[in-house]
Amino acid sequence: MNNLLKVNFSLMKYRFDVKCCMVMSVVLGIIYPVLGKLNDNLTWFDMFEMGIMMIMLLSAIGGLFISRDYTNNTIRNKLTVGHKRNDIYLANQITDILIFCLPVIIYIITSVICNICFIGTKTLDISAFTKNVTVYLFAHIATSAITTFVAMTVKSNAGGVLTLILMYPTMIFSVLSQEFGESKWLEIVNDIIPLSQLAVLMMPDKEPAVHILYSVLITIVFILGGMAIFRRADLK
Amino acid sequence: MDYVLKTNAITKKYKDFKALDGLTMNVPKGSIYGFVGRNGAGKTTLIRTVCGLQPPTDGTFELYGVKNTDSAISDTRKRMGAVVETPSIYPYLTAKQNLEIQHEIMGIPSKKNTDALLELVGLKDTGKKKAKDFSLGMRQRLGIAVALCGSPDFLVLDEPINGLDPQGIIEVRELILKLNREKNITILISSHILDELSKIATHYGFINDGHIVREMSAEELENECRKCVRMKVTDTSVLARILDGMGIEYKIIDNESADVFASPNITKLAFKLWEEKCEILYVSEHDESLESFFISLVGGGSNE
Repeated sequence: MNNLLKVNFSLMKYRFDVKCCMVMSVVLGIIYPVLGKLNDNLTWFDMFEMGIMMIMLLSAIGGLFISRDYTNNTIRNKLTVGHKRNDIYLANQITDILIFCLPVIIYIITSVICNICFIGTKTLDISAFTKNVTVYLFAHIATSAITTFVAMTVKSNAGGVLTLILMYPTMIFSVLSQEFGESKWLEIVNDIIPLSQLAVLMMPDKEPAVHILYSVLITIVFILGGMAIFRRADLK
Repeated sequence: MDYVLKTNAITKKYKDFKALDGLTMNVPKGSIYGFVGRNGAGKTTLIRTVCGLQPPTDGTFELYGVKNTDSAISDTRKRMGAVVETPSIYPYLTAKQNLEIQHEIMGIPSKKNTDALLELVGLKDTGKKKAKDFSLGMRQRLGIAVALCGSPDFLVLDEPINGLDPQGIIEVRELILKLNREKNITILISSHILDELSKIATHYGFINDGHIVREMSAEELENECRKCVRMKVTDTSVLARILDGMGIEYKIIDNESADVFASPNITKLAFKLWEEKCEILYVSEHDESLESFFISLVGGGSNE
């Protein structure tokens, strides 16, 4: 699997969209605090507002990174020379986690530096902030697992962007909870969906452990399910 | 005879459709094995199965004596390279970068091999040109170069000359011959362009409706397709005795028919046969091309 990971990292270096994503993370990490400072309402939790937009963009980039392997038929090169299907799936999953998490980490670091410069650390509740960052990262990892699953199952460019398309209908649950208040089932659904988790991070998360647990479960279920399907899949 | 690939009654089903139906074939070591069949006969399905892209529904195959169900098959696959239908290359990379990536996939150092491979396939001077800007022939040759990473001794090429112009066809043909003769690489090549295949293949496997109709060497095929006079007589043993006496080469087909590989004096032959009470029922000139031989094997029906 090390060879497959090395190949994916090499390809990440060659990919324009991945490089753009890294640059965009730095730019967003600067622009958002600057705008907040100009409006005089910057807080330490404002940076999480970008979460939904970033996760949508990253799911498209992560999905397309994997699905290109199918559209270019380069996945054959890995199978023909004897790489095991589980290794191929896991290497793609790890790469997708990096595609999701690296820009997020860069964005957070840049935002933190800007926030320190603009509002200092007096208003910072480190414990709540750390919990939010952890929930934020795990939600991204869970989404990367869903993205990898969809891309490896659909096996075309459509699979690369399907997760992004599916995010719109799932957003309805967080809208519903805002419109009609929290019913029990709506609360559970919103706790499970990574996108809905991100929507509540503009304030200190009240249930970080529950959110992290759901993200971990989603990650495990989708990785194991994806590997099981890929092991039996007919490839062209 | 040593075999690189042996399949044993391989079956592949897609829902209710049987793409491979108990296919058994043997690819001898050092050969260029022409895999002949019309569209939808099952050529690509078999190749995908051998390459590990699709598991067989039933049956087994052996690659260098290692069964597909054996865990050692992963290591054995490192001895093979393949171009299945379209070349598997990264369009946004140069030829050199494509080869470097393939070497990374295999976990082998690429520095020396890359230049040698590019030279071998005639892509040494492509510089920084991206693969997406290559002509179809160049892409095909790059695909073969990718398949040759790791110095395989078994190369599988699925329709490698499809869509190529005459110059491209010649280039790929010469490359295949070079690989077989100079590097002693066994090649399994599928095609339905029979004329082209007949220029390079040393062995043939004819596939129809998911199973092998016939396997034969190029020599055997040549004999089958030789120009001859096909005679139908009442007693082929008499015909054989007379032809032996006349020193003429022949082949008995069945109790009534024989192929005579020369232009005998028909009057003399007919007279001698008449003396032995053997009647000539029918005489025709028999000259089969690979195409007509193929049609006679699989029938001339629709290929839908």
